[in-house]
Amino acid sequence: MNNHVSKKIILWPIILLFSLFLAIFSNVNHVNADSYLKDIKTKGTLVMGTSPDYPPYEFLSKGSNGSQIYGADVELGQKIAQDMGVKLKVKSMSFDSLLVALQTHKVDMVISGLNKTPERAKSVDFTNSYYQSGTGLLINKSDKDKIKSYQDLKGLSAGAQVGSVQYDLIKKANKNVKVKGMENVNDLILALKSNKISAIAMDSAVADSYVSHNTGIMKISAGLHSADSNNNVAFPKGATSLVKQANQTIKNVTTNNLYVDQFIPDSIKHMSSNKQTSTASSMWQYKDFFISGIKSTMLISVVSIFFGIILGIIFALMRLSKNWLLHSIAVCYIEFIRGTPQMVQIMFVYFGLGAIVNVPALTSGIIAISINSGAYVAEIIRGGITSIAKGQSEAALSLGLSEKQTMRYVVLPQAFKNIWPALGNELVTLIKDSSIASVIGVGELMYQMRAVQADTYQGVAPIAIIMVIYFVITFTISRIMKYFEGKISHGTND
Amino acid sequence: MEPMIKIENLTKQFKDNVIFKDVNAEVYKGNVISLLGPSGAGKSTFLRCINMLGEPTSGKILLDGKDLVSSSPKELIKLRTNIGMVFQNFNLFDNKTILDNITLAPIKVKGMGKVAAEEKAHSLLKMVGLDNKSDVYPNSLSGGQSQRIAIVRALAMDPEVILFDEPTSALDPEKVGEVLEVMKELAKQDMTMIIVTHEMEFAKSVSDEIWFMDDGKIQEKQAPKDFFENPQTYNAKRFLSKMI
Repeated sequence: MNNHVSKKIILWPIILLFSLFLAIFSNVNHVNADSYLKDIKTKGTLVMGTSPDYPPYEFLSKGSNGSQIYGADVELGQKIAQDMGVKLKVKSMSFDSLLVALQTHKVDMVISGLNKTPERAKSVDFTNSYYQSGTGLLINKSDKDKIKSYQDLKGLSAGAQVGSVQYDLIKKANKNVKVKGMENVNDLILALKSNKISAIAMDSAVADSYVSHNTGIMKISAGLHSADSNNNVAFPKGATSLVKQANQTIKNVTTNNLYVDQFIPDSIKHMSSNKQTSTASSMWQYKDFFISGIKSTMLISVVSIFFGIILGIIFALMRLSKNWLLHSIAVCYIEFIRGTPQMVQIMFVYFGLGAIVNVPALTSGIIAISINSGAYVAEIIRGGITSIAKGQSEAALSLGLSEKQTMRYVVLPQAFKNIWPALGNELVTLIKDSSIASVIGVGELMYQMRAVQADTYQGVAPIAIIMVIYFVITFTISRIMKYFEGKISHGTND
Repeated sequence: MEPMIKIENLTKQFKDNVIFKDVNAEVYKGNVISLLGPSGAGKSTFLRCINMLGEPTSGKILLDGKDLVSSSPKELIKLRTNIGMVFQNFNLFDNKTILDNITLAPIKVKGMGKVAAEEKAHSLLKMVGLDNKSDVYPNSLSGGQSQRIAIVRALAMDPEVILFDEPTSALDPEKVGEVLEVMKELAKQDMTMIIVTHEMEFAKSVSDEIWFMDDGKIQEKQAPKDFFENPQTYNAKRFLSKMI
């Protein structure tokens, strides 16, 4: 009984240690003022973060090697990099991840149609404005007599991109509007077309480009006024040297009106022209997107299940161990991982761990998914091991086999046979859940679907296609697992 | 002559529940001991302590002078290879063929070559008349066949002593004979054995010594004839009167 109490007491330091670990992560934003510009010049590259679903500012389109990010903001980034004498590298991620990426030094700079707000200015530094945008409302053409401005949205629901200025604007402007936030503009357009929402508040220029690619919707002036609609470049807090340098470029751009006269028209040239061709043929043109998505999805899944099983075995054995320290570590790991959302884990690995060592998105995704899968596999394996009759291991021990050998030759082979169907399920789940890695910009199926959506302005067809692809993959896998299940149990049970 | 196994003050208790206390006993090479007693007397627990499958609370178990209780895990593995065990429920490895069941320990523990181990397995299987079963899996065998294989598996390690934990209790009555037959044969070959059993006739005919266990103690250690004809303790008398 005494022993039991002491175990519990010693569990606390482990939890404390873990909290400390978290605290360290959150404090890595060292303010090392003005080595920023120097660092980037030594590095030779300036990494720009952007959320490429915002044409004409930033969007994905077919380039020479697969999907590429184009847009007026990218051209501005190009210009800033050029003036610094370095190369520009563009990283894509979801809009609400951008500022986090900046704070954790995943990117050096964010240009993504970003408006300066006092809240944002607390965590990052902004340059002067390079462009003044307005807010427009997108509505269905059929509603044009009903909705003339934001005031007519009373009692209706309107959409806006999560984290965008327009989201706050519409919310503040009309208290009677139900505001629906979505991460992706394409989803908003879909929602509008299918009458889930009555209007979308978005940047005027972006709204124009969606109107030009979608029949049935139109833009009206929102009638909203705000001082916030200046687009600015964001740098990490304290990166004054970078802000100064970029402001020079921006000054040059604004005095010559380059953004409106050159960057936007240039970008529009890259925008896809195949908007109204038939679905089937236009989707076929994007097969390379889907194929590269399948490759990434399979790579993530196979590597993750491999490490997941290894971690699973280790933690299952630790949890079954008589050594209470090993046991406690395993319990903490398993319970913690199973008790937190996988999406959060992926973001934590990418942004949190990434603040210490620079891990690419794909690797981060694989690490996070392996760790996640390890916890579930550990419980499956533990169940498998405990289901093996005690007599089996007693017989092995009585013959002089060590505990390890007993596990390896007698218990685990039998356990694996029993848990094979459960492992198959886990693999299928893992393949489906790998889609979450798209939040940090891993180019798997889900991400590629977004790219195709953005490029073709077709909302539903790409979704249907990846649904079929996912099903074909998972169905094939479960058939293969079934086949091997038959093989293993041959001769033994039943 | 020194005893092969010497048990000193062996005690086993779960919290306050004493299973047996301060048991002392000796087994000499070639001896066949039958451990009798009413159900719940702790016979199986005692037997399982001898090869440390159950950990005794205190006391010593000396095999050729070396104590198993205080030995390190590595030493224990070494000592265990000298002590075979046959279980009530056979405990053949379900995932392995009969041949692999028998050769696993000789190959992995003793480092024996595969060919030599298999040769040995075949000759032992012939001895129990089951060489034709070498490639099948345990689930296709009858109880009597399984138990004979389990004995062969223990023998393949050339143990100094074999512990039998109620080897015929899980068998259909008509299968009991074939297993006892094999055990009798081993006794004839001077194998040292400790047998927990309820087969009184068998115990009487095959044993060199009967240990009678009850109330957490070995109450009597007698030659079979003396024990069955002239039990000394009240407990033994009561036990025998119920068995006959």
